[in-house]
Amino acid sequence: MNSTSASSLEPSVNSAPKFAAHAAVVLSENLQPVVVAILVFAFCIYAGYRSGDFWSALNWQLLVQPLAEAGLVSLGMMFVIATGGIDLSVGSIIGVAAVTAGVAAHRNLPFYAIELTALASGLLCGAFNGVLIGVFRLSAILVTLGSMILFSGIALAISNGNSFAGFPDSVLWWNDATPLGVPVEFVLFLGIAAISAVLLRYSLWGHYVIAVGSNRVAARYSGYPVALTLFGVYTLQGLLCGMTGILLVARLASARADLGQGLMLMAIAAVVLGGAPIAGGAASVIATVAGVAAFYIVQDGLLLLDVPPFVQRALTSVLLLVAVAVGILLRGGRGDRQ
Amino acid sequence: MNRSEHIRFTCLALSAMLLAAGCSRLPRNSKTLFVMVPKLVGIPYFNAARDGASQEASRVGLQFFYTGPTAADASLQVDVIAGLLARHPAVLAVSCDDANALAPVLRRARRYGIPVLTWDADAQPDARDWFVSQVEDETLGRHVMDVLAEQLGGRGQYAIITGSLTASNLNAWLYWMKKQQQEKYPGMQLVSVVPGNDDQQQSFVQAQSLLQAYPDLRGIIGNSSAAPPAIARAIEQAGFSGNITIAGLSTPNLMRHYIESGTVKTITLWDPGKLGRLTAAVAAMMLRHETPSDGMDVSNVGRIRVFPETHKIVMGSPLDFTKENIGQYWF
Repeated sequence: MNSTSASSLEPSVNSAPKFAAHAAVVLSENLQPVVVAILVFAFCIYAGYRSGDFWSALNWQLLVQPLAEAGLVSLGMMFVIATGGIDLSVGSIIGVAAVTAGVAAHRNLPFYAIELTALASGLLCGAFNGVLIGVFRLSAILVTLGSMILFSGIALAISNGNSFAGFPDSVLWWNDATPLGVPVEFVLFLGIAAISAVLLRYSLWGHYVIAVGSNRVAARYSGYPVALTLFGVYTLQGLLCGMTGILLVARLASARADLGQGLMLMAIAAVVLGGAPIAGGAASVIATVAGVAAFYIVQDGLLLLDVPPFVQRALTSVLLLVAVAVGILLRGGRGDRQ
Repeated sequence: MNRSEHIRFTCLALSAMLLAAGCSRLPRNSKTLFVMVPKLVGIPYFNAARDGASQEASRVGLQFFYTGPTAADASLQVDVIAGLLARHPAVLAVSCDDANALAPVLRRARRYGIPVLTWDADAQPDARDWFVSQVEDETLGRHVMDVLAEQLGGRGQYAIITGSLTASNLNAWLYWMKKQQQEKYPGMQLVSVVPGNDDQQQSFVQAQSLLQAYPDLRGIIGNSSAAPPAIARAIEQAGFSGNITIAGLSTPNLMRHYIESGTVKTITLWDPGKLGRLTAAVAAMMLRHETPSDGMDVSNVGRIRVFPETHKIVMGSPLDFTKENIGQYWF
């Protein structure tokens, strides 16, 4: 990515103090979120010129709801990728959270019990990944590939492949409430994003996350709690998936095992679009939010511009490629040092 | 290329892309915009429906727009519909991937004053104004049994390969097939109903074991679109072509080979193009604030049945594909 990250790859006992400086350098040199923001802004002006509906309040109200769901998963994924890991099981965790909420709703439990069930099952799934990756030091991609299949199997077994309906209105509140015209889902997302930014920037744990991602060996030698940090990252991702499950259930008024399947690639793409190195060691909440917002704004705009669905997909991925390419060009280098 | 050239090239490529996407402004809040959403785009069945709807829409002066998710996924479909609501279409017609999951977004559309139709697959009844259905379960089930019985002369053993044993639409058709046989063809005997799980390979294996287990078997019904081609393949491989009759529900594209080779005489479904035309015609009625009435004659569709209590419109009779007409259909 740049010369600092290359040098910090050499295992060294004394490299611990460099971690903070390293992250700062990566971010200050990383103009990719700025490029993304400019591209998206240009697109918004174009879309607003061509379609009179683009700037309507209704469009943005409807747009930020799926954005909030994908955004929560992306924030979790940001922490995971910052440690140099990846979580392929997020879609399946959302499925487990949704169908367990469905089971709770069928037992006529009160709304808070339904929501706690979803959060707890998401948390447990995440903790399962966290133990295997953090404590047993297994490869993140292998563990989450396995648990992706395991969790979706569990979700299918619980739901028998059917969709649950009949959630009480108090659960659907997450979709219906729009205080001051802002959907409450989106308010929740902004709140979680703010907490994530504080955790990442100012907490000891955030410092550990970056350290583990920059150089796991050095972090271990420096006496950092690597296992606990990784456990925390995957458990947090599980918890955020549980939240996403609740939001999806509220928006679709039903729960199915395959509910979150599209969100895994979206979350990874959003983090990468924001300019985070896929090898870990750096993270930025604003960049991640910009990344996920870019996808949803462009998708929505293309839909309003009558662009055919298959072309929409192609153009959205062009955005990713252009942003990554321009980001690398502006840093004046070739991308292969990542 | 050096760095500034790279950047210039990227900018050029970008502007070319934007130009290619067009610069004309789109009309706002069109009073005649009819939006049609399939379960997924890019498969022949829904393309046929799109073509029919598009013809009818231009005939009655509706602005037609067809879009949908690129995979059969309920939450993707909901996202697409939510995006469309900002355009405030004059009428919205959706083939629902999941009756429950689509209900909230369709209810929301109705709250914004958009008339909502479901076509091909329904949502929860309070989420739409009318359901435009292809054919009634009873008509379809009884008709398939008639097709089989006619070729068997009303006697002999037969078996049924269905999709999954829990699919409610398949079970409804199955019920009426059995009922028609019991009422009208007492000389026929149902020996077995087995699931093929909407999978050609599984249906093929089921067909092979049926052929071995029942040497006197004279007919097999395939009750989900994957089953009839698999049954036909099993029968051709076993060398029973012409001795065992196949009937059931499948699409012309899947059955073309077996109908042209003569292994299968008749296969049944409905015409998705006609369903698209009817959906567009009903959309035009919504715009004119007309209520469809039972037995009314819709041009290029025929007489329709209307059930005002359940707000359901039924297109009519099933369509049989034979050697004579299969060339006209592509889905």
